[in-house]
Amino acid sequence: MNNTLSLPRVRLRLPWRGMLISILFLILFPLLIMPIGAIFVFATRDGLSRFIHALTGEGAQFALRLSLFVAMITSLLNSILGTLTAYIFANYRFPAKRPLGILINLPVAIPTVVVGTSLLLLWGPIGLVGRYFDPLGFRPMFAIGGILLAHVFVTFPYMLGAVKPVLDELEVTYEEAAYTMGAGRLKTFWYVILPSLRGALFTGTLLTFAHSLGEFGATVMVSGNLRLRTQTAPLYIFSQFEAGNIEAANAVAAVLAILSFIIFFVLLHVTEREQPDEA
Amino acid sequence: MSILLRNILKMYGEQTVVNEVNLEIFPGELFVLLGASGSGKTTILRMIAGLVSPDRGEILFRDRVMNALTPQERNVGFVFQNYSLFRHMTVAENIGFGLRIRGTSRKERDEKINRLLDLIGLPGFGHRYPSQLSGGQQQRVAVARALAYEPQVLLLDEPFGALDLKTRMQLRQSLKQIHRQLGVTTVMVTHDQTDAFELGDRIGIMERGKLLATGEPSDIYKRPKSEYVAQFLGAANFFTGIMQERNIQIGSSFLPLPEGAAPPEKGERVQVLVRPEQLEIASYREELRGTYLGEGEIRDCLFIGGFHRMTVHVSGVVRSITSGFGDTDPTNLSVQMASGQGSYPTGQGEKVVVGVTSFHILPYQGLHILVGIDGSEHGEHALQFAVYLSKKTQGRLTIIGVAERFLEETKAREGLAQASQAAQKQIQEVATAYRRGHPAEEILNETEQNLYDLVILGTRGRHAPSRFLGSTAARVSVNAPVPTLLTPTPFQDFKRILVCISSERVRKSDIRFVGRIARNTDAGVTLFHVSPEGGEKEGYFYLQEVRQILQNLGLRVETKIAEGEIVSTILKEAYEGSYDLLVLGTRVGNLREAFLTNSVTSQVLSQVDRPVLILHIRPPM
Repeated sequence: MNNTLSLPRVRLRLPWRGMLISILFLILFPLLIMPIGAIFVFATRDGLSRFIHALTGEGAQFALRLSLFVAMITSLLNSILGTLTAYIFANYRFPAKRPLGILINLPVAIPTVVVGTSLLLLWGPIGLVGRYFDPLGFRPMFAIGGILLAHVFVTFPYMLGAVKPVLDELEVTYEEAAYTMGAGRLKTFWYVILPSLRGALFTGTLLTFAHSLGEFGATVMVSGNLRLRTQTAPLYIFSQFEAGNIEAANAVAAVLAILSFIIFFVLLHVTEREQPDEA
Repeated sequence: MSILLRNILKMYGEQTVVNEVNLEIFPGELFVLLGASGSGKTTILRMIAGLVSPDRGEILFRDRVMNALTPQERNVGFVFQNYSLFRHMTVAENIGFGLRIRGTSRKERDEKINRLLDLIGLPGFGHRYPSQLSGGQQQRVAVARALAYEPQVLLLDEPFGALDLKTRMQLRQSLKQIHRQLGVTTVMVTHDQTDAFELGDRIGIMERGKLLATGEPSDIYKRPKSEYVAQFLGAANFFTGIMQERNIQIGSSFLPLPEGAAPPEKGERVQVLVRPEQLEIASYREELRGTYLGEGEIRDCLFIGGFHRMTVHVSGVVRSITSGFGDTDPTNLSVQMASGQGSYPTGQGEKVVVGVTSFHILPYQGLHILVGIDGSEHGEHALQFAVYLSKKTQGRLTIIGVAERFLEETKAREGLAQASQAAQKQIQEVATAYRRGHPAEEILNETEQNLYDLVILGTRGRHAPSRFLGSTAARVSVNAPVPTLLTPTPFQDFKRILVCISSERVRKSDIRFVGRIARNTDAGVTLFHVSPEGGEKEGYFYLQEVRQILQNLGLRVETKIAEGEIVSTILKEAYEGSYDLLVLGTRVGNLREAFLTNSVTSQVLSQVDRPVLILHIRPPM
């Protein structure tokens, strides 16, 4: 269990070194760097004050706050759900375990718009289940509850994907050690297993958060895109652009972009740091 | 805190991992379970801890049955092979975990932790994390963690697994010290013999789920109860010796029996264990301290820091092949000489004399059967019979396959492997022997080198050419030092044995041998005597003698007497009485005399359709 030295990357000596690197930049530039640059250029084109003014508008404020709120709740819910699922899968055998394991990763494969549609068909006022709940006053669709439902569904695989491998890697003797020392199942989970999942939970949360922030397809369906009621930031950007308010759209887009960058760099930093520790 | 395991059985699917183990561990002792991976030792440890439940049997801590208790309730300390230290906790937090769960006050906890850190030789390491410790340090923390809450039993699973030799040696010392200081009943599981010998107050040897032997290390090493255990614990030379008045004959040497040893019967064959360090070599016979064994030359000599390990070729002495330093030449002995005690020859090719300073006679271990297979269905029949008898007599089985030609080698080996696998499904101890050469010769060699009670071969019975001469079955049955069973048919039943008595006597031990088989298989014995025309008293008296011998073994014996032509009468009786085995005698040694003279036995053999056991007629005194 000693720290292993990481070998320095050996730089290959290829011919035409300069040319290959230039080609790389030539491809990346219009694809990635320029569009993002464009947002900032447009956002600040008419001056910083206009930028801030666009951001403080009612719609923009609500949209940003709603997105952050939804992202946080989704992360929280998925932390619990993801950990629970990973734990059950790691420790118990039950019929249909294999197909279920594949099923819970499905959201990654389904187009988000289809997710939204299917949720509507299930929970909407005339939906399979919704029609019974509607008279009871439980109407998740076109409300924040529906957005949460959609986001949890869509981002679940990301949390699971972060937590499950770490849990699986945990040797069974880890828990057994705690048992022999007198800790019951619950105490073992709290004192031994959960803390060892800290890193994975953090990564999972960041991923979930990022995906939730940017979620569009499912959100646009289940929320109804109701301004100042269920309009998240991505929906706001879309609507404003369609309506011709490019500045407003750009301002919020820029904020989202900055948030994404921050999350990305934190994630990168964390995973790089964890790498050498894993002996 | 004593631990008692009663009839513990554990199966994983079809595989019996722990097979009816009975073990008692005394309070305060350090008991080591020694065995290879897969022997079931770790499973037993985990059952004591409560991490695994036995399928059958009880586990008791000082007379209290623990089976229903969870690991949490058993108050045991467990040190895992990979230590399993909690990575997110400091060393101090790890050690204090058990106490924290039990609600011990912070102050008390800290005191205990510091005392333990001192005990394991890591004072001040409390704030470090496991990832900052070396393997040896982590192991010590694991031990401290398991001891913190003063468990009644300490369990260690291969604690020195992935460590280098020096660290191992240090840790062994530490563990021994800690055990002496605390006096906790400790059970350790390992595959390393040095661990076992150095640490164990007593050790237990496990193999394929069975507990083979328990006892103090020196006792088991010097006086093992079986060949297998002897080999397990170190290199050994096994010889087949013949008991004489007050000594044992090996080759042409006579080893004096140790004082006070109760000698087995004269003439009886025994297995003798001589460890390499119990053999000695010298340049001249006068220099030998022990009994002279023979002359030979050094084939190979290795210096192992303090000892010379040598392979010495000694003509005239033959040892069992499955022993020694891995040499397969039975005329090569494995000798170990301590380099500090006087000089001795060490050069390759040097001529030396070999002596025996001490030895150990292995106790009788149940019927050892040698069965020969040759890939044919007759071999199959023989194997079925052998497996049945082995199972019933709880003995050992060795399957031998001989390849006559180079081209047959792979087939022979494969056949052996298959046969061994099939046999292992029903019997515990199955060994194989592979030889190249002439089948009859190799089989006879095998019976010389190793101690067997019976040889079983398949024959073509009625379909064999009427002249047996040259067939493996004939040669072996005439020359083998033990009874030979020839079977021409697939194994069906074993309920009735027909012993054909004539005036020619066989060895008493052979009669008793038949009796033992009958007793173990619940087969009925009928003594049959055909008096030739004109009558003959000799045979009749002998029949009564045999009857007495068998009745003394507790068997009920029927007797039958008939008149007429011997061969046909025997065959008729065999057929009409539905006997499953015929017992006949043959003259020893001379193939021609035994078979060409159209003796009763050879005639019966050429016409019989059921198994025949051939005993040797003693030459007239």
